[in-house]
Amino acid sequence: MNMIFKMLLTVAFTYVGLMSMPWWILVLIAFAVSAAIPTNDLGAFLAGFLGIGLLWLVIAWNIDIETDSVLSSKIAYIIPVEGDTTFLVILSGVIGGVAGGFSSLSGNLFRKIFMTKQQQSMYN
Amino acid sequence: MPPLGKFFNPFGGFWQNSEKEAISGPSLLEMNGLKEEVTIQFDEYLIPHIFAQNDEDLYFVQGYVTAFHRLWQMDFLRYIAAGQVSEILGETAVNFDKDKRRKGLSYGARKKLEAVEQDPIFRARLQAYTDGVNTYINSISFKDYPIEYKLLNYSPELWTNLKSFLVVMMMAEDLSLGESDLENTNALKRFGREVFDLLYPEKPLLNDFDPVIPLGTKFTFESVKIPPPNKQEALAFITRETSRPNPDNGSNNFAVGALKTGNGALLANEPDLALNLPSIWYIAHLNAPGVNVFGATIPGVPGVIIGHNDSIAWGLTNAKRDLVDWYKIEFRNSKRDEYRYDNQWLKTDKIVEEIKIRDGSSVFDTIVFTHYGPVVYDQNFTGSGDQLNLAMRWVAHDPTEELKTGYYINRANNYEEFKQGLAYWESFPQNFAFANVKGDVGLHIPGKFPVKWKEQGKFILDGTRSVNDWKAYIPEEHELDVMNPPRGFVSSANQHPVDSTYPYYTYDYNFEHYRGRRLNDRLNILNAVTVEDMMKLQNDNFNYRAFESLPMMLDGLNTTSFNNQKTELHSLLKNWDYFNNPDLQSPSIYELWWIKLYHLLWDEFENSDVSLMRPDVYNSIRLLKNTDHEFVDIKATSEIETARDLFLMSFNQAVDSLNIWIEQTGKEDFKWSDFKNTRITHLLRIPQFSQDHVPVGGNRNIVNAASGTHGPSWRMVVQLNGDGVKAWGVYPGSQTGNPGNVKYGAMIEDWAKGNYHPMLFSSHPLANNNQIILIQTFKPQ
Repeated sequence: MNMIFKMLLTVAFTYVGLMSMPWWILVLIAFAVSAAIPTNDLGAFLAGFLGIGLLWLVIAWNIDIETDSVLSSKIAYIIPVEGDTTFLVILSGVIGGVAGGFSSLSGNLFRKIFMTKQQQSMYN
Repeated sequence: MPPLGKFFNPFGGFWQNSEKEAISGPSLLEMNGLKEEVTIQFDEYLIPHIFAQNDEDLYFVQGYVTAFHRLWQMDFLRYIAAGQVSEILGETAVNFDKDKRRKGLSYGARKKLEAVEQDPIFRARLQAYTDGVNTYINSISFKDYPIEYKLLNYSPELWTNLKSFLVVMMMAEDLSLGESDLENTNALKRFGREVFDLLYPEKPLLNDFDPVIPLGTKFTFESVKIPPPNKQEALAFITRETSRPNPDNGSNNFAVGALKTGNGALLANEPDLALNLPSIWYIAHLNAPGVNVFGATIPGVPGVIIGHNDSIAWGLTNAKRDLVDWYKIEFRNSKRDEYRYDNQWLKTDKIVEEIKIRDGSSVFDTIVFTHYGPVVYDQNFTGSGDQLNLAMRWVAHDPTEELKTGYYINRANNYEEFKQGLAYWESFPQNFAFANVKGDVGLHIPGKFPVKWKEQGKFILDGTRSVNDWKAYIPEEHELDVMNPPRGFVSSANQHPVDSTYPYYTYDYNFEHYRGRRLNDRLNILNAVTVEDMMKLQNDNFNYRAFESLPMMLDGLNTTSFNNQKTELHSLLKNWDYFNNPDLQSPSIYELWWIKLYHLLWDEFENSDVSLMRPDVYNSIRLLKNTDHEFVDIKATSEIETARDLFLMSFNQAVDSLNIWIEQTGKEDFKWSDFKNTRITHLLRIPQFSQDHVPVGGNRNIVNAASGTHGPSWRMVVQLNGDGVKAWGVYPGSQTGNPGNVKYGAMIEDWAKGNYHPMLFSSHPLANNNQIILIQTFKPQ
């Protein structure tokens, strides 16, 4: 359950944060949320990976559909992925997911290493 | 490769540059720096119609909307002019930057800024434009940055008044830096005087001579005289190391008066420049008390450059003349602190240029300045040169004030006021065609022209002797001018300005010989000229060069050995009417044949050990027609070739090339537009942001001057009469510079077809007009 909670919280804060802040704010958010909510390491990674990966994927997908791929169809040759804009959408999701996953994992590890047992027990 | 997270982040990366709506924005914006309320209406072509209540607000908003549509472009242009591209693109651009700095583009920009800023009123107007650009820059964050910044991972810098002049210097470089003095010097030394004059005559045959100022114009004034030196210069070979402007830069303008229209005047203009995206022009309508002007602006420069107001219309073509001279400098010693000038040693100035490279390192280049200008060629330049020290004297380095011209002619009501504005126009002389609502037409050629003795500066000059210096400039009242000539029209197409009755020396290495004659041939026979006639003429594909060379080539061609394909191609050419229409095959064959012939004829120039310039196309045809000169022979063969031999050899070579081209492209029908491949190239040469194989006719030396990379960058036709002023225009691009906008490059198709868009023009904001797609009000904060 904590993993789902961690994922939702990460998505919510990241969504709000990215409205006005640079992309790397997601690293801090995923790290902080993960440090605050205990899960196992796999759960932490998945919470960040799926949460932010899906967030980026959905937002990118939405733009791609709403704009008829007006720009992505060009970028998909510059990147180059042979004009496959769906692949660009997925790639955006994966890039966000990897960044989110590892940040979340790092946060989890940080809590385990540096936070005292007492503090942990507050949540357990 | 840009940083992945930053670039792919759908909240701020490239996704955010996707624009399904052509334009969107709030209807009300409050901003610092405005004095009063300003209304902006964007029409369906995204042209802003700006209605302000004072001059400063007008230029403020011009700066703002230009940045809104073209921020990356204007910023990049000034990086180019300042020689700072290495800061963005890295080491690959160092030599490019060095070239710009050696030419002193920033040096000229700083002098012009100082001159204009002495006038507090102009300083305020310029500052208003800069403030407008910066208000836009400060209002955006990374997610709004143009896509090019995101791809190259850098940020826009704030605009300054100096940057506007850097853009002006970039135009000057394109338009007035062209010269062939080094090549002329080499050719004279190699071939001797007689052959030199044969290869590079200053004027065409009398029959083919049709200058800008109509023949027969009388000059009654007493000219300023400069004594020529009594000693010949010693010549030395010199290798060209600086880049030269593209010779395909050119333009056409023509204006037809009441005599030939029956009612009012018509004016047409198109500057033929490098075809790029974002386009060099941004169309705008500027309205404030005392001014109501519409036309083409250049991103980075306040005011309208080509256009019309309520009373007049004007258009520009480059008025070429040799405005750059090279002076050989003798330094006193290796410290290069002093140089000889008659019997004295003059002091030099040194500027250390730091070229910053993206990786954080720097390259330093010391440039020595003399009273002539920068010593462009010396041992430090590229290191491959001839150890000669050459200083450049160029009018565009002077503190001139062409920025004021725009201000005054935008507000001019008649030819007198128009010419008062032109008095400030100096660095890159232009043929300014003029028309007004009364049906008058005129043409004036303003510029800062040094008074020269015959052939002064045609070759490298000895900088140690003051007699070689520029001593005086052609006075304003002696500048070339024509008003309502008897033939009823004025026109110009980069050809010779005037015949030899004009009492000043007017040499250039690169006058055009064909477009002007075609324009005048047509205009002479047209009567009751209409707007459609003007459009048709502007899109005219008649190939005058083919008309004058192909019959000779066909007559001299021995066809006895031809196979089926060659016989077929030969008959295609025989039946061709010389029009370079996009769907025809004959222009492709002719062009290939001509290129092969030209290179065979001037084989002596191939791999020359010194920098030389091949004789121009016009003179090549003339020499082939009239003489079997020694140059006709191909040096690499033991036989002596005649012109007939060259025709056959080059025809065979052309057919071979054509077959290779067909094999490579798979285009069996070798249509002219496919073969020519006119392409509108993004400034960063990104193919996906560019458009190639635009189906357009024409070519260089043709009125519709669309060649592979150059062509009509803004076609405009204006009708002026008692009912007012109406304009039509089109250009190969779009107002938006965003490759992610649905309208990016939207006008290219109509441009290629020769279609025009009627331009919206009024003296007040239009209410309930369905051509207006966005209305914004800017209010002072």
